[in-house]
Amino acid sequence: MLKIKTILAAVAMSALCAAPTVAQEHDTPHIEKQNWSFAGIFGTYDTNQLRRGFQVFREVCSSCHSANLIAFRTLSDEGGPHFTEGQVKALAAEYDIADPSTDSGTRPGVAADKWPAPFVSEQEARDANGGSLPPDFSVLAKARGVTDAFPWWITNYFTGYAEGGPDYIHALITGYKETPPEGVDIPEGKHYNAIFPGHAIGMAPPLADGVVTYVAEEGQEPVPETVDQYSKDVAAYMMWMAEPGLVSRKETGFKVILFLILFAGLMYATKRKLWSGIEH
Amino acid sequence: MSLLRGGFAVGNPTLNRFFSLHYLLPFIIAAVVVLHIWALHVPGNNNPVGVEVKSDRDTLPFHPYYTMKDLYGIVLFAIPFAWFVFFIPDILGHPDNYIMANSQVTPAHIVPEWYFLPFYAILRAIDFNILFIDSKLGGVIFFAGSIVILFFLPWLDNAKTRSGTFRPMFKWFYWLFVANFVSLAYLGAAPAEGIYVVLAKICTAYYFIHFLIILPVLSRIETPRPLPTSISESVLGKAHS
Repeated sequence: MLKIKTILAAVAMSALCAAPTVAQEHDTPHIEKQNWSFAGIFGTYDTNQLRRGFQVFREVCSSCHSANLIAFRTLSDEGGPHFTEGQVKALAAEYDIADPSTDSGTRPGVAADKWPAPFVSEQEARDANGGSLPPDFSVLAKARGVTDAFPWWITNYFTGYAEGGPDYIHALITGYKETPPEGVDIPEGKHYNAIFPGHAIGMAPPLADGVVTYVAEEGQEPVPETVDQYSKDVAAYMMWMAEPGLVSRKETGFKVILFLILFAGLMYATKRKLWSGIEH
Repeated sequence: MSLLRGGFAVGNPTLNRFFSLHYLLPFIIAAVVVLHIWALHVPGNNNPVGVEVKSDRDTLPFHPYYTMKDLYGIVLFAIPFAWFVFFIPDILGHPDNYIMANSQVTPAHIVPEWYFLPFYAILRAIDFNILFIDSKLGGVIFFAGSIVILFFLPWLDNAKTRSGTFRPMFKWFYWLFVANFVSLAYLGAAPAEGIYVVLAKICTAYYFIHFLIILPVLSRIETPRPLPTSISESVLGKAHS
């Protein structure tokens, strides 16, 4: 009992010490948390959503953003967008891949090729985008995040919240405002975004309602063609690109924890039996 | 500095040097394990009550009693740890770790790994010159001193009672120190501006005050509670009450 008391006292004391500093937190924009199919300990990717997200990426984002670590063949992975191998081969063949060993210098892509970058070099990418460099998409969903103030981020341990990247991306794409609020000066060629650090972003609003046409398969409900929906889909797709092994990681984790709990029970019984003859 | 970096800036030679330093660590750990086994067998081990072993009633064979109990503890620990590994592996990391390294671009906020945070806060807290020691060297001295001071504990804490369980005042200061340490960790992750700078200085000062003033004074003025006469008495006495 005494021990629990001292621990409680310690927790209360550290909370008291931390309280004045927490009150000083910066006024970072609030990022709305979304419902992701891959959230939580049993989360899996939604294949249809990934396919839609891939369509948005291919038709809109990929004209400026590269995804250098992604190979065409991964698009047929189970648990991912899960296209058929034929579809992936046909898709890869639509792209020209630079290959110095051929006469013309390029050849049609094969499934083993990486996703071709829209610009040859960083300088070329900057020149085409008013000096800003469109970041590579390969692991971008994990290179962005939501900061929860101390000590509240500790609750993320229990809820398993790790979707800060997609939440940030969704908030960023839907966070554009045509007229900046009063007193905010946006330089020429930049755009006001409520979420972006510093609020002056080089990327023009990339999506508008209806720019990507979703084709609903038979028996499926049509998906709304809105910026909100597009950004959710593309954020989910980017999360899959950043971590295609997420589902198998969580599945293994569930098995491991189940085993450990059973094993700990057995260990406890053994320990009790062993110590039963000892006065303690 | 340039010897460690292998050049004027951090680059491939720096990485090589730090890799080779890190591969030495397992050998150092192996040497410390030898030291540990020597210490266990020659001076003998301590116990939570801090009372010498007096009879056979006070002890148990290590195997199977403690091997089994510790294995159970390890499995118990593995459950929350597996939860961390499989469900939230990035909770202690930073999104910046997924951005490709670029020696030309410094991140907006430099934050070390979580286990370095309290010491990083101490390093940053010294932003003033002390006589001829400039703030850069002063920071490193305090940073290293925060660990070196632990080696002087036997001379700083003169208390005759080995266990903190029987020292009521020590307990309070112990938990105050823990709270201070947690605050230092928080401040190490906070940006170095505004009130954080002042708080970091106060916490750093308290870290050293705890060792250099509070511990020596406590051991002189405190009256400890009476000790149990033997280990078995303290263990069995508690179990029956």
